[in-house]
Amino acid sequence: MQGEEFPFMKLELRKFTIKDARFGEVTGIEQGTLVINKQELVEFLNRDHSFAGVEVKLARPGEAVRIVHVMDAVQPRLKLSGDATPFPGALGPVEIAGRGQTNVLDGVAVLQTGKRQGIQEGVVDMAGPGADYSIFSRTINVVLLCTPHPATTDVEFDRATRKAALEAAVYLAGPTRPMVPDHVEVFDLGALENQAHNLPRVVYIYHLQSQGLLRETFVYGEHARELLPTILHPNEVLDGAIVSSNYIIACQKNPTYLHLHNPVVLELARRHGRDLIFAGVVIANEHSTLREKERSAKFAAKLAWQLGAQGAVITQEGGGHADTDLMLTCRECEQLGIKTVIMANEIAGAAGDLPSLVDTVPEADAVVTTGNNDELVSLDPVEQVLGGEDIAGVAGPPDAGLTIALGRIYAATNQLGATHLSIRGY
Amino acid sequence: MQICTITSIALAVGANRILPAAAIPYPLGSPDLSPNQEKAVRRKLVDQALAALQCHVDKQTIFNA
Repeated sequence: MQGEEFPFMKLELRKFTIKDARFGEVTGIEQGTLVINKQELVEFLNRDHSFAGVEVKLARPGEAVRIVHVMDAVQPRLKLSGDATPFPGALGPVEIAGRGQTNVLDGVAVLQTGKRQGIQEGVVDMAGPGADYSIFSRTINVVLLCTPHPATTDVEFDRATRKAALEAAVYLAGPTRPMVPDHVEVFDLGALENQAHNLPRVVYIYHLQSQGLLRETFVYGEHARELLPTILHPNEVLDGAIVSSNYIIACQKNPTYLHLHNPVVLELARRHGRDLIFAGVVIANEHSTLREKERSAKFAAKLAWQLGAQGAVITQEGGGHADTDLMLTCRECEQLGIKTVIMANEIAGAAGDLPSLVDTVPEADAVVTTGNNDELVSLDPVEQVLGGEDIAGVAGPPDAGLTIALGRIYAATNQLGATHLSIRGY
Repeated sequence: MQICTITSIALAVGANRILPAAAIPYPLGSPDLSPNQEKAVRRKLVDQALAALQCHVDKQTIFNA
């Protein structure tokens, strides 16, 4: 493609700062305002009549709006080179992500909503005390509500809604193709394996939820549960190689948006060559049998060792028996002489005095908590509810003031660390 | 007596007798098997669990499935 200007794994994220959004006649960007032709977007997303209906609504930070049944969040993006999409494999052909130029609508998220079988939905409040807990209270949200035909199966609906969210993201970023970005961030880590520094080599072991349908992650469009742990270049993570299909426990899932913005990858990439060498990303699974968990943990640790790691940051997605994945990987790394830090949230009861994790190992002696799912939070009443007409498991009107567990708030204890809250001991 | 897929969790919660199960979504079965084969697997696990209950243990014990 761009030859010398773009070495193989050099990535330019070309960011267009979006400060507002409204519906209008022509989809485009007008002085920082995203304008959306709603009818055109709806007809595009439902051109194959996959849905009984598609609704598009807007929610801005500060508005008295509650979004319910949140399933996934995606950032509007456009790949400038060839036929590639910003979500290769999951949408369009498989190309290697993490190279070339990608346009990004900074400050915007597409939120896919709607009911799914047996899931635990996410809630996002755009104002009031609930807005402190989700990073999606601070984005301008294009809220999609796709409804299935009566005969549509769960599998078909899941596939169709994921495709619709990704297509909406590409549609919304489409008008930026000829435009000059407000800001460009370049990720050019060089050939990671050939760095001759004396700095400590650190890998990131990135557990992907992969227990089955509706608890799945896609890597280049294929099920993560089919993978043996493998190595990704950090740029691939930041450029759409990983797409979420995990709808379990709202506070502790990793939406597609946060795979693209993984704070661990961003921090390690920015510190690469300064105080550490970012030796690579190892993606690992979270399976539902002990044998597979052990296999994933042993292979992830082995790959970290092959990358010459002296240290590893390990994240999980989900809780309960996913704690076992985290702990097994931690133990395997430590036994190979790789020091570990793990990131996890807690399920510690409303008072925070119950055991936080269901599984532990003595080797896990450096742990960062991202919050307690069971903490109760009070939400103000709102003027408008988007994404549905009820909140699963909550009696009464969905626009009322509510006291709910933090676990219900979308990405509130995100285990990649994508939150605005921190705690300080005195 | 706990029939449990992730035996480390059963140890953590203090179960005395632990029998490894198939998988978290289907501890006593398998979607890959026919209903009759699945019933046989389930019967074997339950019989093993009942046998384990009759064993004396003086510490937390994982039985072989």
